[in-house]
Amino acid sequence: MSAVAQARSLPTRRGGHPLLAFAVRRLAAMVLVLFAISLLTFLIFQVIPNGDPALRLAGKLATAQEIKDIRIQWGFDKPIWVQYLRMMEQIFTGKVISYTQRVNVIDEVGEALPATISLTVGASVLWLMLGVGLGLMGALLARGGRLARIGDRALGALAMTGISMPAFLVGDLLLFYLGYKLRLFPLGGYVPLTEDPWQWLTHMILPWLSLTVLFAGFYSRVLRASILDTMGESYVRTARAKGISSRRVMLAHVLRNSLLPIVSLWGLDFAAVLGGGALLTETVFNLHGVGQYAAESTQRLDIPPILVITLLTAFVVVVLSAVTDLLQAALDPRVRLR
Amino acid sequence: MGQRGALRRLLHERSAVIAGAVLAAIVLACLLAPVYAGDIAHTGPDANHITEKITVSGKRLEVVSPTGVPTGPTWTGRFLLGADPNGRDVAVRLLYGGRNSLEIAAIATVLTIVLAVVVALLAGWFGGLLDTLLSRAMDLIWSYPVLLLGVALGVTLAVSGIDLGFATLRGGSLLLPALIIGVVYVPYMARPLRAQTIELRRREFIDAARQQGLSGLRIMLGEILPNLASSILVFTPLLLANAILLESGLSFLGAGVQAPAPSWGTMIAEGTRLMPEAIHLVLAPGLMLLAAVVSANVLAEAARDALDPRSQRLQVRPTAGGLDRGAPEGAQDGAPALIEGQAA
Repeated sequence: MSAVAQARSLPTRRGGHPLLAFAVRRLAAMVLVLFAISLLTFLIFQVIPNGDPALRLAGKLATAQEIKDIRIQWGFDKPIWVQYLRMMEQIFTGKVISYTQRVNVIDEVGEALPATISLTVGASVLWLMLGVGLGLMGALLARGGRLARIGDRALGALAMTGISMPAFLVGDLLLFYLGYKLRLFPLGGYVPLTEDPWQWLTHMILPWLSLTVLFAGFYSRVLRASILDTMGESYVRTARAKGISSRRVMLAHVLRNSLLPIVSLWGLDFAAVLGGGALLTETVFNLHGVGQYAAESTQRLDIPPILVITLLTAFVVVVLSAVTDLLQAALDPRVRLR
Repeated sequence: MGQRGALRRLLHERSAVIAGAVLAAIVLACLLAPVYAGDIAHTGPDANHITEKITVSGKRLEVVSPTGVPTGPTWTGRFLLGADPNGRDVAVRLLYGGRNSLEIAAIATVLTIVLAVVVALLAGWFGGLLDTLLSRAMDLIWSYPVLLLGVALGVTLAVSGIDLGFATLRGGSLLLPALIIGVVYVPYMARPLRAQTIELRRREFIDAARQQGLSGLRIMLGEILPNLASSILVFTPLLLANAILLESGLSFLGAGVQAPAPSWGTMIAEGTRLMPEAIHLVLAPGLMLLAAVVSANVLAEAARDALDPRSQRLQVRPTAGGLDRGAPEGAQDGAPALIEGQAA
């Protein structure tokens, strides 16, 4: 085997397709993550004295006998590990019932998903575009003259303000000034895309902007630093020395490589919001999405929805992180799939 | 790298000096809350003035209108920033709330630093099984949705309190959110510090210390810890900023500071419920919180640049990655400039 071929096959030392090995490893890791997270969540509520689900199911006016009946009927008198297995079985067969509302949790999450998907897709495109634009601008200005560097610092201050904002404050301010004062947008709520596309759009714009304010600043800072880093690399100097125009070097060599950290960042933020991680934003805008459902469930100490949404978030994050790793490997041949 | 040179560089950085001054002013103002309440506003943080009237530039104003709308800023001693629906002085509550927010953030920050340093030293020094166990525990906290974990813990504990064995925290105690926030951020700090510890362990001066017969504990505390100092210094304002943000998020969702105690987060939450009529209830605590968090973040960035002028790069936290994600790239570069993944 030639040296080149050997080097190429290095990642697959033990044979087999690298992509297949990667998929198997990630799947195993995913099962582990989901197991650990479900166990931790379940235990948090078991250990805490106030977590007794029978009290929640019975309601405030229940007698001691009623509570006892519910405890036996729902199996809360069984050992913890039996209760855990039962709960997991219910979740994966789609039969899990909420303690306070007595409705099917999977159905509830399914109903909440369109709003959360709308939020995620729109916002993630916006914050990525704005973040990349501002980051590129910042890096170019940072290498410019005195006036340009002042512009770079102004962009930095702007980014820092966005990063430092609490989510609900951004939402409140957008709702008040653009929604209430200027009457440009409705004051929260969600209209399905299939029902009325125009209403859907007007209801989604403020939540999109809100997440963009929160995330774009961080992206622009990461990209700016990454671009300035890449510009110092030898292959960039080589490209310039070969007479390639600085504009082409910037776009084809520097930007392409600087986007690597952004890709993984974007994938994971996308996953977090899609999995219901935007509790605050969804609550402020009353989107009735997965995040708001999670927030309401935690306030009611309703364990089944919390478990389901936590698992959903973890699942989406693990899958998306595998996808971003694949994307990174495609963008940069030096990146090996681990 | 000279620590004194770093301090001089920090003081030369105008943004760092301004940020430090703003943060110090906010802390001082909040500490002086009783003075302001007693001598200027003549009221307390929980005192009700719902049926009273005040005179502002000759006009008689109701503190809270019959329809329940509180008066806005008067820009005078009493009700400087207006009243809330219960007729309480917003400026007074802002300062007392700041005390709670800052106290929680400070305790949480100290807790995170102590836990992270212990975890990093133990995992990095001993390696082996201990390292694996600690690292996996960090991974688990890391991959858990932060805000969901915080809210879940906060809500359950707020009602019942918690028995830690050596101490019991009652529900509603300020230490509860501080404890939750403190634990949640440990992996962010423990991971880079662990990587640094492993790197330091291989250096000659550690070998020399070992040859001299120093015990592991003395090497950890006397040789390795001082070398982690600059990272810890950068992490402190960074953690403070994120702790303030997370506290406000938890309080906003009812899982942090419990009413009637004020905090910036609970005040914004109360203001949100009364939104279109009384925006000053959102703006006052919101801008105060923003000022504190921005200054802490700017301070962290400047501190990092001053302590390590070579490193202009930001460390990216691979958000809530899977369990299989190793130390983030550039973990050896020292402290990050920002912690990504704030509560959305």
